[in-house]
This record gives sequence, C-alpha cells and structure tokens, in this order.
Amino acid sequence: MKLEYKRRAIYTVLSEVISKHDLLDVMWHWQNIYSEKSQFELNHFLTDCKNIPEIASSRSLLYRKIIVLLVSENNELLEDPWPLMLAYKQDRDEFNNITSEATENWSEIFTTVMHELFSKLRSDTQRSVLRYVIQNSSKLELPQSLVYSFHVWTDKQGIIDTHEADRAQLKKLLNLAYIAICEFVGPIQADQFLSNAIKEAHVIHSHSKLDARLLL
Amino acid sequence: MAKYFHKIFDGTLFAFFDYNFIINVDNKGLTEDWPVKVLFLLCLLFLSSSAFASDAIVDLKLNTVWVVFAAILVFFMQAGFALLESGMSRSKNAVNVMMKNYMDVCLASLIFWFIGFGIMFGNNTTGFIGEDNFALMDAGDWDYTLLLFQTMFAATAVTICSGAMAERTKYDAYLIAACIIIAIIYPVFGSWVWGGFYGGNGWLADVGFIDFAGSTVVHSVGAWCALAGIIILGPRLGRFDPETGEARNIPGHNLSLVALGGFILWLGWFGFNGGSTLMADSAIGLIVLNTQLAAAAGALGALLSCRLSGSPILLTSTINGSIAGLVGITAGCATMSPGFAIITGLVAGAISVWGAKWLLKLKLDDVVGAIPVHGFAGIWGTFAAGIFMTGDLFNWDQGLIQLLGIVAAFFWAFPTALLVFYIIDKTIGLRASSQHEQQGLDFTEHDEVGYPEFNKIVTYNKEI
Repeated sequence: MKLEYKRRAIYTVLSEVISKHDLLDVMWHWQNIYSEKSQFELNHFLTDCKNIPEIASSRSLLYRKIIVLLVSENNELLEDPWPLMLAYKQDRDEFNNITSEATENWSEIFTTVMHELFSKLRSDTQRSVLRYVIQNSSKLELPQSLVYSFHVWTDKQGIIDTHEADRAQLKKLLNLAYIAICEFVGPIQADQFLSNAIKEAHVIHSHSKLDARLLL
Repeated sequence: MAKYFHKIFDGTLFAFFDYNFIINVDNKGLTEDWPVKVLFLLCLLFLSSSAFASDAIVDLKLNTVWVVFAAILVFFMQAGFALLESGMSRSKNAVNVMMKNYMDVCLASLIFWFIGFGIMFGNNTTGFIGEDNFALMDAGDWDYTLLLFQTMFAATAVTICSGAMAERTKYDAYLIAACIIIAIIYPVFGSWVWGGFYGGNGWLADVGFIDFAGSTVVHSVGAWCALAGIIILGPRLGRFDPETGEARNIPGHNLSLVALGGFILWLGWFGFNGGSTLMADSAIGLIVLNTQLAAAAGALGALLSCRLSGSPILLTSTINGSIAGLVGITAGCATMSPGFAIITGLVAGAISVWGAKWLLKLKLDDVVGAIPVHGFAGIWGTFAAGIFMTGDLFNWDQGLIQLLGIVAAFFWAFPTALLVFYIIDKTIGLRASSQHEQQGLDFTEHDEVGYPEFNKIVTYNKEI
C-alpha cells in the first residue's frame, strides 16, 4: 500500500474529529514514527495521541474507521495533506527558531523528556520514582538549583530550570530516573519508556538546535 | 601387514610354528633343514618386533588425530557458549557477551600455554601444584596434543563466568579476572585431580577422587568463580522488586541463538567427554552414548521440574536442563552404564531448574543460569560418578571421597575468586556504571551495536 494512500486515510478520519492545528501536529507524529510501520501499529499511534481529548474519547472507533479505509481502499478520501504538512512545518520551524535562539538551553527538552518518561507511569509508581530520584540526587553532586527545580516540577509541573546544569549533569539526573524506573517498574519497561520519551522529545523539539538524544 | 604379524602372536597362526616345525614328527631329532627354519623364525621374530613398534606409532597417530579432533569439538563449544549467553542477554549487551567469550578462548590459549599447563600437569611432587613444563617449547608430539586439548578445557572453565556476570561487568575488569582464573584458580585445582602427567600425583587423585572429564575440575570450578563474581557485582538494575523482593523477568533478546548455542554445546560435549579418554579407544562409544543419553534426560528432567513447580516450560530452562545433564555425566561418562547415565542426567536437569529458583530466592542474579547448570549439576554429577560406577555400585566410601573433592573445589575456587573480584572491584571497579548499564555495554565498552538496523528500543546515543 502506498504511503500517500495511508496518509490520506488517516487524515480523512482524523479531520472529522480534531482541529486543523492539532491535526497537522498529529499527522507529523504519524509521519515521523508510524508511517513505515504496520497498520497494526496504528493503535499505538492513537494511544500516543491520547492528550487530544477528541482522540482519547473515541480511540477504538477511529482505529476501526482507519482500518476499514485502509482495507477497502476507498476512493472518497481527502486530498493528500503532504503540502499542508510541509507548509505547517516551515511556519513552525521559523517561529521556533526565533524562540530557541532567545533561550537556548536544555530546560524545555529536558522537561519534555521527563514529562514523557513519567507520563507512562501509574500515579503511585510516579510518586515512588520521584521520591527515589530526589533522595538519591544529592549523591550525584548535581546543582542545587536543578534538584530544587526538579522537585518543584514534580509538584506543579511547568519547566525544569536547567540553566546551572551542564549536559553531563542532566544525563546523570535522567539516568537516576531510569534507575528508579528499573527498580519500581522493571528494566524492560524502563528501556522502552526511556527510548520512547527521547523519541517523543526529539519529535516535539525537532526545531531545536539541541537534540534530545544527546541526553542519553 | 602389522595386523597380520600381530595375529601370529595372538596364537591364531602360532600353530604353524610349534616345535614340530623344526623337530621331526616322530621326535627322532632335528629336521634336516632346521638351520633354514630357525633363520626363518628369527626373521619372523625381528619382523614382529618391528610390527609392535609400528603398532605404537599407529596408535600414537590415531590417538593424536582423535584428541585433536576432540579439541576442535571442544573449541566449537565456545561458539555454543557465545550464542547461548548472547541470546539470553538483552540486545544492547549482545556484542559485549560475544566479545567476552571470544577473548576467553584467546586468553586461555596464551595463558594456559605459558603457565596454566605447567601448574596443572607439570611434575607434581607435593600433590598440590605442578612445577615444570611452563611455556612448552621443546616437547614431544603428544605433549603438544595434550596441551591443545587441555587449553580448550581451561577456556571452557573461564567462559562459564562470562554468562553469569553478563550485562553489568566492566570489560577490562572481567578480562583481568579471567586471566587469574586461567592462570591460577583453574589449574591449581586441576593439578589436585589430574596433575602429575610428568611425575607425581595430585592429592585428590591419590585419595581416589574420580572426575573423568571435569564435572568438578572444569564446570564446578568455573561456576564457583561465577558465584563469587555475581556476589561482588550485585544484580542488574531492577532485577528484583525492591518492595516484594520478587525477581523480575529480563528475557533474552534472541531465543533462536539460545537454541543454536544449546545444540552446539551438545555437539561439542562429545569431544569434551569422548576426547578425555586421550586415546582412540573402543570405550568412546559408551562415553558418547552416555553423554547423549544424559543430555536428553537432562532436558526431560528440566521439563518435568517445570511442570511440577507450575512454571512455564521455557526454552531456556529446557536447554539449560540438557546442559546440566551434560555437566552431570561429565565425571562418570566412562564408568557408568547407560541406565545410570540417564538417571544422572535426569536429576541434573531437575537440579538446574530448582537451583535457579533457589538462587533467585537468595537474590543472586545469574543471567544465564550458569551456577545451577555448571555448579550444582556438577556437584551431583561428581557424586553420581562415585556411586554409579559399573562393577562397584553404591560404594558409599567412594561417595565420601567424591564429596571431599567437591568440597575441596568449592573451598579453593570460591574464596579465591571472591578475593580476586573484591580486589578488582576496589581498585579498577568491577561493575559498569548505571549510565553504562542504561546505554548497554555494546555501546559503552565497544562502541559497536549488535543490531543497528533493528533496534527499536534505543537507550544510547551513537548517531550524533
């Protein structure tokens, strides 16, 4: 099956439920991660988009609709959104370049990685992992401001301030979170969660000069 | 030709040459042509003695061919270990495990030639250590053959550690420990049992300890070193739930490799046990048959144990069961009848399953199950060799001697290896950092990735 047809099918189904802005973001997410994968991975794709309420509320219905379109090869699909996606990406890159040049630090990326990492955990496990990280961060000789900012983030979310930390220290903190997830969830899931968190952050901050993968 | 003359002295043709040949039938005196006949007999005598000499040469050649071929089979076991251990590890550590196995055989070849062989087989006047034949340079053909074969055994002993300690050991630290095991720990114990090839005798051999091909000498010694290693290392990150203490499953990345490794080990074991005759002997048939039966029974023992314990029947458990059967039969493969070989293998397979469960209760993380398979099954096999000996069944005195050897192996290898690993840990560090464990040792130790095209889970950064 052609990539273009798959893209049109997904675009057709999702355009019925979400706004254009979200839709193009979601399409880029599919394009970057799932476009080369089997159609059975679409379920994971829709799970990834659960932060969009319209998708979260009717995930199984959307999944069935897409599969039906892919199987039947229906001709009544919307046009290929590729030109729209390219235009959207260009606009977003320009906007983000301005933003990132102003504040080029790891704060946003690191926060995204942590957010993605913790969002995979159950709430009670989240608390255990956070407690472990905070208890053990003092042993790693990390900047107090980073540990404090991380602590605040655990309560109120927002951004983890990494101004006083270099990348090696951020790697240490991320590794500490990885160790905690290994201990409380298990090493296999820890590998998956970390890998996915980095991939997600890399996609979300694809505009940035900094690469989330450097935090590994 | 040699065979023909040999037959003469077997008596089959000797009737031709009874005294009637040179004495008249009616016993009236010597025949007229007696000088010719005596000359003929003398010629035959000369030819037959040279036939004996050529028999010895033929035997040496045959023995050499067989033992060298067996050495090749045992060498191939390294490939089996590499596949088995790598398959049981996560993909991010696959290269590291292979590298350790590869270097084990390289280090063993050099160090055992240089020092290990002398310690193990050199003139053993005290019964505790060999004193000569280090770095063999000017020796007989058979010495080289023996060295080659025994080098493969040394490599086998040390490579048992690599699997148990996989996924969290610093590469350099492991190699240093491997050198010490090859140079000292393995050959010293070996000299107690198999020593004295060039004079003297090992003290355990003197008291009657039997270990034909090395259930204890090779496998248990390797396993006790591995036990020491994993105690100093500690478990992999997240192996045990901190709240319940239960072990978490960390499945290997490629069970096909595990299965292939198991088959290769099984094949190699025919050389391991069969070659230990050190001669092309008719006994090899029984030895290899016993090896085969014990391996098969080991797998069955593991399967039944899994069923009885309510555990799923895993491929890894089944293969470990057959390897435990092989380890078990190694000590007594030459002295047991096939029925007892089956019992030995069956029990060894069961031990591998229950032993692994016991280790997990102790919170000891043995990645491939090397300690139950090589250590616990080795204990059982060595004991079984004593009590299942053909012609001397259930001789409990022999059983006690076997226990003495088993205990001696543990109290030599385990504390010594514990000390070695402790010193390494306190000096250069034995355990890889948690960041390296996260990224995987393939990347951090070798800057290589086992499966660059297929890795979906990436916890390291190599491209940028």
